[in-house]
Amino acid sequence: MKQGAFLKRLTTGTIAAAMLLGLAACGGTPEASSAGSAGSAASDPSAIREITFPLEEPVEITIATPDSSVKSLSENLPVWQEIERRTNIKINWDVTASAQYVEVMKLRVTAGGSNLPDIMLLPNGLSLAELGAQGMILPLEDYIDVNGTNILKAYEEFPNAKALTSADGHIYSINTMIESAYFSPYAFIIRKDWLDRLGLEAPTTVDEWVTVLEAFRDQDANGDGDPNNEIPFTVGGHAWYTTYWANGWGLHLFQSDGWYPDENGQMQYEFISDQAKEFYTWLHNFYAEGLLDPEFLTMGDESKMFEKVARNNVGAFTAYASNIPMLEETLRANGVEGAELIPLVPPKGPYAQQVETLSDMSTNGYVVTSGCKNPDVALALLDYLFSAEGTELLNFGIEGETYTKADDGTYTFTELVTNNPEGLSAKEVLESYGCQVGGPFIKSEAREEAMLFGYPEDFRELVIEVSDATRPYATPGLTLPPATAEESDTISGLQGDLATYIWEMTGKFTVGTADVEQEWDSFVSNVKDLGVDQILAVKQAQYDRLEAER
Amino acid sequence: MAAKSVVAKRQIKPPLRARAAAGARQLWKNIRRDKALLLIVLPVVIHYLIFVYYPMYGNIIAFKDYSPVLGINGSEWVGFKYFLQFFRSPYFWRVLRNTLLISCYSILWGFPIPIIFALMTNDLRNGIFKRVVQAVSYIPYFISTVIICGMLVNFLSPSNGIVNTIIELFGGKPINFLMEPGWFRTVFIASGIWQGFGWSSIIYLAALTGINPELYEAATMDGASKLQQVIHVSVPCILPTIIVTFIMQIGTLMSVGYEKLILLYNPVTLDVADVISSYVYRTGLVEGNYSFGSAVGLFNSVINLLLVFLANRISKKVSEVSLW
Amino acid sequence: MKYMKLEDRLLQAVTYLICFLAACITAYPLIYIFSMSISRPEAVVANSVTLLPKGFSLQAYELVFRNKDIWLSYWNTIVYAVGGTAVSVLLTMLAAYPLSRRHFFLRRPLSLFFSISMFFTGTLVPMYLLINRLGLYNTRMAIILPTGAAAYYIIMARTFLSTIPDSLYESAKIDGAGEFTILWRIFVPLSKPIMAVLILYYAVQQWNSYFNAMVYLPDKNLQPLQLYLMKVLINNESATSGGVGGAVSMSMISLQLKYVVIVVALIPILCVYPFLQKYFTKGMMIGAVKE
Repeated sequence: MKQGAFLKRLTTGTIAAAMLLGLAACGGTPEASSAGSAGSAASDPSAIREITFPLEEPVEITIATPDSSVKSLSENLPVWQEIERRTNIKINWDVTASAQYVEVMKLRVTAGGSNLPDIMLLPNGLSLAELGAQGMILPLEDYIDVNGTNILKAYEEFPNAKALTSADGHIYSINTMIESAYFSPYAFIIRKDWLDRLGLEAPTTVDEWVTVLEAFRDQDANGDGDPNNEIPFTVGGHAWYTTYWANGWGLHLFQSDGWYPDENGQMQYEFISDQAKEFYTWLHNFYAEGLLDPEFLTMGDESKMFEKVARNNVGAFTAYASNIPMLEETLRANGVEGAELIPLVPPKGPYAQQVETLSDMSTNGYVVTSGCKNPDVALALLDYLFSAEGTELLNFGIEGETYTKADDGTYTFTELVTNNPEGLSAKEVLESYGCQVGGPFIKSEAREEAMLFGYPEDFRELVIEVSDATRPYATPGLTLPPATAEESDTISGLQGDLATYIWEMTGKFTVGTADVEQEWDSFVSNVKDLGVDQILAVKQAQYDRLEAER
Repeated sequence: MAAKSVVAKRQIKPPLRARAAAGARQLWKNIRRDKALLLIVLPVVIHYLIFVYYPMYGNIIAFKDYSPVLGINGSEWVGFKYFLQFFRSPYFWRVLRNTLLISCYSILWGFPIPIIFALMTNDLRNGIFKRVVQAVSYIPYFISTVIICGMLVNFLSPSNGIVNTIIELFGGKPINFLMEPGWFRTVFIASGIWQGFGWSSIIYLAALTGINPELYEAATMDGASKLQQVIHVSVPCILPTIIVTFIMQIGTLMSVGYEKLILLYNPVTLDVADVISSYVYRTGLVEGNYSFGSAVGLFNSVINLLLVFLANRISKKVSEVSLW
Repeated sequence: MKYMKLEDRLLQAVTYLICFLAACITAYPLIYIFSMSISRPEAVVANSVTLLPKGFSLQAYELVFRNKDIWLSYWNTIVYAVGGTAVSVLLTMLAAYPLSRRHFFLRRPLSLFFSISMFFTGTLVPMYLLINRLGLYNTRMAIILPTGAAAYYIIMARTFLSTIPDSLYESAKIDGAGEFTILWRIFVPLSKPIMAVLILYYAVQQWNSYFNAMVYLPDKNLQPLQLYLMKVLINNESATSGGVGGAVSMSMISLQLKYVVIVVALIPILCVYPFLQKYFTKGMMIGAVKE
């Protein structure tokens, strides 16, 4: 979630904030609440039909979803045509451009619940519990019991999924599940050619990192004759990215914002732990020693970091490994012979060797509205998307057209995808076929592997190797189930202030405007004053619910 | 003026009913007299009632615990809960102070410059230079904030930014401008002026065209220098526009936009850089609380409105120029 | 006048110098963005462009113009800019004229009525319902109509109109002209400078706006340029931010796109200014009456 968080904050945030600032706030009407509480729940579970595809009689289902930006879903994309053929469901697409979906759909839900599609992607900012309580969306558990074999199977594979899509004891939404969350994670990336030039080994511990970066700082690592123009290490996008190092102290600051249970299942706020104090002390030294780019707080977005990398000034940084080929290409085009970047396995720190990774499930999922005439068919359709057939269609497209499958089960994309005559990128070609758009699905790791076709052979092997080597250290970031209305009421206003304070102090501790040793106690007591205990109590309740569901 | 006060005095005496009747008669008389003007303004009033005033009712969510699912009317009343939340926030005074300081400095430096620029370009001889200067000056206004801030970061970079290169050329030490709290307001306001002065000067250019050329001729006859002409002819003639613009600026004192701030500030400069809107923006992102945003917005609006009333009153006394 | 005082000459020299410097610093961003948009992508990624383009490549332009939708959205934007500006300028003048008449008995209350709207804004949901109920949803009118006259500009225009000498108004009245005639025959011709300002302000506002279109125009064929450009940008942002699992490859070109998008959106609206400019640069009070 953190990755690209800043960018997203800027883009979606601008719109969100425009609303928050009252420019275009929000509201609702009597219609919203009269949306038909009559249809809530399947009053009689035994009345649910067992659905087998293809249906004998065609059924129409309307799906509201963000549109593909490559080719509109309303043009009957091949993958979805195939799904319609195999299920005998006629899908009516109710699409909005993805950038605008949240805004537009939220408005539609708020302004007039009666006119909603059968299935829709839940826009950000609407609570499942509230929608469920208002009877605007249907509880799905009974339907899943009858027609959701594939979904049930997915719940086993993704143990959080059920808990995170539930509210008030009902399952309300079906989310995309991400099998490839641990594949090629956000990682430390280093200039291999700089290491070679200085005769150094790739670092494997935090201490070795410091030694290597000191060498970058002191010597002429980029080989241009000037030993002083190297920036040993930088982070881009947001100051928060420095907390990536905190992984070595066993802290979960990067993805989980410091909210993490200890071994007894007690939620902790790790920013005020003793390890955090040690980490901040280390981070300040790191900065004071000139190993961290002095501009790390002022580079607005990731592209500013890439600029520096491309100018041959940066020794190491954190990013997705997928950026490496582009950066290498740029470096070479800018005249840096033999430029080579490699992703590294997370280093062993004083307390741990770990890396927090993304959640394995999309934040928002698809819900079935109470206006849906055939909820059993709707759920069966969603379930079909999670079947082996559905997964294959939604990840790889149409066999023979976009991919071929070898006997051992490995997938290879066709030339149409890998070397598109119209110049579309592989992702775009697949999207124009309807892959990974239109509904929830399982994002398969096999596809991510197959997508590496474009990279040179050795780089492909390297990514797979590093992914495999990293996997044992991958710690999933903690995602908690939604707060109840009562819970969000007790912590209303607290989290924002706390986040501001932590962000500010992280910067100040790093740069040294606040001294860790002297100000630690007041830091901890300020965090307490900002209501951390109240928030912790709520987080604990949420965490207990998660555990209970798991 | 005199006639009006006489009318007022006379109206105090008669009993209420008679006064009301007189008032109605007066109103009717006014309507009949000004019916053409009323007819002209009527479409605009209707447009305002429909498209501006009607949608304002959504602001009541500032007093409710708004939930998008329950809607405006369905959400529960909570009175001043969110206003109090804002006032009690540990950051309230900081963001209020920063907002006011940034606004005041922006007006102090940013308000006169477009006027001076308009006066200057107006004095250029008509020709290609004048047209190019005017046309070019408003370009930065169109460049998106993200790009402008990206350029600022480049210019001010301590390692290879042009500003620091110049400083070093003169033997100074490079300054990491964006990391120095002492520099933040200067950078923010100066770049704002750079982006907006050309655009803001357009209204003054239009006002300058309304000046009767004979006034300049007369001044020249009297032996006034160019500068004297500007001070004694141009400025007084565009004074109403200047005053009106100024009063309206006063009305934006509480609303410093967050778009540029969030791109330029960082933890180290937050003490001087965090304003009300950026605070609401961050809080809103974390908690998705519409009512809070609305309450703060309403608070700002009321303060802005009060300030404008005050400024308008003073202006009316001093210069007889007034918004209403 | 051949002879110039030394003082005046000095002033003039300073004026020219300052104006020249002002032009340089304000022209810079456009030159920079344009250079970025046509440089080789690797120069853009490294940001080695300072003023002039490094290398030459139109790849990013090709990418933006590959989609034929862009022309349609260009056309739509022009329709909205022209239509919306016409409605707005008309309404602004209709409001400003009566408010500039000193004897108008509703002058103060109406000024207040308009001014209040500068401080309290409408909210989205009621507006959305309104647009639906008026049957404007998914029609061009949903963009053109609601923009209307901004209070700020009404007051600006009113201020300008009240500087037109009363004597003109009085003599027209004596000649028996009605208010409509006076507005149309005397005030409008004399208000060309302020109308030029209004046209510029409103046109730019319409040109840059996308929010209303985003909410009220689901039909792709009606959407304006800004919305289309946002799609290009956001689409690429999702690509640059790596995506889940990180195996989405980013091309160098995607970093260049934002500059191209700005140029594409900027050039037409920049061209409007020179046409309006002549109204700011010469006096309009021909044969003005002394006050």
